[in-house]
Amino acid sequence: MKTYKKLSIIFSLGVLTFFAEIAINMACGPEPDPYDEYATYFLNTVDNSGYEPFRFVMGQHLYDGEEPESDAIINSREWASYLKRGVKATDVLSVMYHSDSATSVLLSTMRPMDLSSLPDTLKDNGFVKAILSRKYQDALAYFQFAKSVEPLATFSYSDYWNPDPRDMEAMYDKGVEAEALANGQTKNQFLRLRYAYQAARMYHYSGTYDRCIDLYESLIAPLSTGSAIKGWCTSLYAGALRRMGQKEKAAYMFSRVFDTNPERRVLAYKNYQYIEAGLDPSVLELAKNDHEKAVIWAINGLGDPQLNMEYLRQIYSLTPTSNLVGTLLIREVNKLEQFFGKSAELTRRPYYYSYYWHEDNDENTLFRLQHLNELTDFALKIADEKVYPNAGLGHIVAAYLTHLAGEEEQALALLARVDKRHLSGQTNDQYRITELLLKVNRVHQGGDMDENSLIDALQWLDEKRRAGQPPPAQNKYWYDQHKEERFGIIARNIYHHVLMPVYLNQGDTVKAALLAYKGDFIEGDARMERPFVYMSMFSREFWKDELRPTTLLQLAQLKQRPSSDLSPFERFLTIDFGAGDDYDLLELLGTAYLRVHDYGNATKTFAKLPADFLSGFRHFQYCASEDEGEVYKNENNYADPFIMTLKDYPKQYSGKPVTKREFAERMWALEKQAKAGGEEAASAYFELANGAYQTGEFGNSWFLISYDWSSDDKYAEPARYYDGDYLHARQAEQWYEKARALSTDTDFKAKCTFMLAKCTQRQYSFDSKSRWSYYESPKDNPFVQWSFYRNPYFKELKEKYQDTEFFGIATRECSYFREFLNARP
Amino acid sequence: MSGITKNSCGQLLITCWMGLILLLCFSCGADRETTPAFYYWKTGYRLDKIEQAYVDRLKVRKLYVRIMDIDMDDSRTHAIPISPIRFQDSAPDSIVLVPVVYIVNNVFNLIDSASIKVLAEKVVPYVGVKLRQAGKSGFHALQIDCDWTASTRDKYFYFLECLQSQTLFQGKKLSVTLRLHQVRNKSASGIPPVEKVLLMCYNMGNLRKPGDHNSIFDMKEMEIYLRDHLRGYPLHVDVALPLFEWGVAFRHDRYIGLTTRISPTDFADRDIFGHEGKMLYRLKKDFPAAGLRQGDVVRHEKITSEDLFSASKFLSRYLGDDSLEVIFYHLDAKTLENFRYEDLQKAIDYF
Repeated sequence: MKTYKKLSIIFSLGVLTFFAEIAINMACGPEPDPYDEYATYFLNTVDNSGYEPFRFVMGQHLYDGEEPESDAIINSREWASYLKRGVKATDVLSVMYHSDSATSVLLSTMRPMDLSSLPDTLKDNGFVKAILSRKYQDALAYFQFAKSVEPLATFSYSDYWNPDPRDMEAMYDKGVEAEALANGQTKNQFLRLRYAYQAARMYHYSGTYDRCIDLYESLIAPLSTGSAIKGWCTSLYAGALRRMGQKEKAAYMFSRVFDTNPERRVLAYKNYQYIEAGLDPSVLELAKNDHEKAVIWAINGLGDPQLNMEYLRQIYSLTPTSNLVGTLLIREVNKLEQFFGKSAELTRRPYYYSYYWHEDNDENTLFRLQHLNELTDFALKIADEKVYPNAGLGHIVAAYLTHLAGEEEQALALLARVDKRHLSGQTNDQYRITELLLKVNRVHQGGDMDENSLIDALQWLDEKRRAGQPPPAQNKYWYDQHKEERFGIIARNIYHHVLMPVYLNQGDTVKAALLAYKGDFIEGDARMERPFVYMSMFSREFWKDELRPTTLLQLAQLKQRPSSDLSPFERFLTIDFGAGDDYDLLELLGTAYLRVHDYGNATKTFAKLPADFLSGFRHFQYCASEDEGEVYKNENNYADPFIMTLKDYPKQYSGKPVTKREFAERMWALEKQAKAGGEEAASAYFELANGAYQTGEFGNSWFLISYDWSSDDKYAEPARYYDGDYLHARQAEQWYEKARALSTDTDFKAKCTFMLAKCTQRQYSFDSKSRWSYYESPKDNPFVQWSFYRNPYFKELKEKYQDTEFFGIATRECSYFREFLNARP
Repeated sequence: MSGITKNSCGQLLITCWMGLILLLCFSCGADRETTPAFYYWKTGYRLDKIEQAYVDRLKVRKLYVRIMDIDMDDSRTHAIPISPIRFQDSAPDSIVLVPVVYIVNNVFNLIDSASIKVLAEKVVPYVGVKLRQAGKSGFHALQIDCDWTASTRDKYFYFLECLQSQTLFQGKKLSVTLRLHQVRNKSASGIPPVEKVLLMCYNMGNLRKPGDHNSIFDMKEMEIYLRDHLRGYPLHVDVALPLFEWGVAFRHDRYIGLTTRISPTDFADRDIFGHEGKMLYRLKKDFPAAGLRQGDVVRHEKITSEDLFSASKFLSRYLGDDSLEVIFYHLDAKTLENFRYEDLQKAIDYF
């Protein structure tokens, strides 16, 4: 087989393995919660009542698919109001919407005044008592008729697998019957409308759209009523128009439902979008007044994820007092947060939704800035004209946008213009958040950080997020568990992404670590017993990847210091910091010592932990997810960090576990032995080097210095303080060099040289070209050139150690080395 | 005839003839029995005149009819039928209907083995009733269409086994669709536990990648995927060829969706589109009917008769010599307008 073919096979296998790994990682990884990843500092709840589903969130069409109000509750209220006599809406709701099938069957056959056969649960129900009374015989008749419609109108899971088509004829017949009954109710508008609704939906569901349209126009439209049921009929009418091809009118009617019926708002919005009418002039022409025109602009604007001022301008000019103005204004602010300020930094993290969508070319940047300026001007206009009821919001928005643009002084001046006396609760909350953001920046930019002045605002924010916490999560679907945590997300973002960088810039890693902690936990949070288990991924990565032994020692000492020794800000940050035991912190400290090769202190630190703490530590038994499935089946796959491996894959195992403490002890002993000099020292350095090498991402014991591993690590640039070992085998290289220099045994020297070649191979820095394109021309690939053909240690091995036994072993076992030997000059 | 004896001349002649015969043997297509068929991929079954004419002219006796898609319900807990077909017409006795069920691959990521068994038990009677609605007494063969992957392979294959183990399925044949990548990556994709497979010779390129390429059909891609792998595929292979076309829309070089709402007349209208490259059309103004805006680029991907011929010729070399079904995707009057009967017949004849 020719060399290039072999290389091609090797590389193909490598590439396949690599992509398979990525595919597995992606398939196994959790789906991110879009609300948790939401990078915002501006409350999207201000002036949003009734339009909650249309708040802006990246990556989702709607913020929330649920209707803002419940149709069942609205209808129950209408019934309670109709029946009077002390009937409560909850009575109606429980019987009409939440009764079991047995109760439904019973009620559907009851006769007036037939109270004796009622079960206890229904005897006291005001709604049941009312409709069984003589006065409301018509209501009972309607109720029983509605129950007879239910099997035709509703759909359950078991129905999905019923292959028979829906019984359209029965639906149509029921529609005819309902229409006749509606016509019969000449004096009772309440029941006339409801029978008509039953008729309209039966006509609609049976596909007789023309009858549905006729019925609406002749019977329902003339009814003068404020009942929500009329809106439900309008919705059916609009659907029928759509089916009959009258798209513009259908779109207009859906816009009316969107406006008048919050319990059908999402439905109307979706249908409007399906029609794709957009801002067709023929739809706008159907609007009877400015308010209706504004609603058509809104139904379009609330679905637009792009930066766009036009909807806002139009709605404000048509209906300047509508809360749609506030809803759309804040949507635009939330959209802009993707591109400016601290929130934008968040969106550029690789796992953030918008990471792949943003194109940061000059044209886009200019457009976004222009949009920001226009929106600021618009917000000021609202504030100055004072026509919009919550005009103060205008100054807050303008101040926040100016802050996003980096004009802090101007932002402060704008915020100072807010008349706080007239701010609503939510608006006042956003005022305080904006004030806090500006204060952090002002304090920071002044150089002299008066951190104690932030405490009040941060305490207020903590209380807000405590109050805003959703009930215990047992019934929450985890995908959107952060949906309602507006303050929680903003507070966390302020601690992690506004305050932490300030302290990191000052070199105060201790306070930065405490802020990471504070961002995740509120005072009294029981999860602080095991903070490393419950920390956010951001904080956990910071604590576990960034903190060196000196910082961790200071943090450990901070737990012991009396509060009187602490500044007010330190006291605020360390509330409950010592809630749990010290074991996790000690384990991290010991690991940090391993990372800096301080094996003596690592040994002493691990010795403070209970005997079984480390043996139960995760990764203790080798987790072989990156290897063949066979490994899983063997329970004795313990990694031995002290073996020399000619090949890193497949991994080699031993039956004996080595804990972090045992590793530290052995390395410490080897360090002492290495000071002796001569062959003994050479041997000690060699074993030390093996230990260090195996803790790299390519080794079998990476978990001794790292808390996670990814197939992507091999391409990463060193960024963390232990990446020299983890990614590039730097310490191992030094110790192999020393071992080789101290020994006189040529076979041993050959081994050291071979391992040095492997260390060199690990030190290649991939760029996008060498990472992605090497399969096109393997031989010319820079990585291959670096690690095979231009590897100085391979050259040395060939030139100086050809006669050693090890040379023969390396030639047989290592295909890379053979490629080097077989390469033509 | 100096220098050449009569005997040697005769030998030369015989050699030439033998060579010619051998050449003919190798150059002719295999003597296989080829049966044409169509996919019917709409939610309502009713053939119009054009569709009926193609069925008649091509002597098609078998339609592969999509019965339903199967996907998870909104709660992501139950696999349910999506848009099941409604038979507005009965199928004539002369036409055999082969029901096809498309299953979204992700279903097998979300349901466990117990639910898979239940799903198989639901599918067979459901399909039976649907076929009776079409005026058929039942069905003799079922096709499952699923773009399974290495991660769903085991569950999908278990589903296929569950289907075949049912009493109601006894005496019936099961086939599955096969994508090009599943032919090439046999070890990862596995061999489905069925009697035969239907190779889908379309949707082979990168749909979402901007550029002037045809993601529906690309002869080069087909060669890459099949040349060294199709002949050795261990199951009987039938083939499906594409007839459809669509527009692939991009905004700022980002894929935004597929559209079938742009007619050839629209593409040809220079007031609406500027033509760039082979298949790319840039909108000169907004096109609300398709939800597109000025500046959007639409790649108009379609299949020509020549594409069909070259696919047939290529595939013919690598398929078995016994019987073969060639199924056109799909039976739709608007799609068929782009093809003459003769050309479809010619594509069949190349096998």
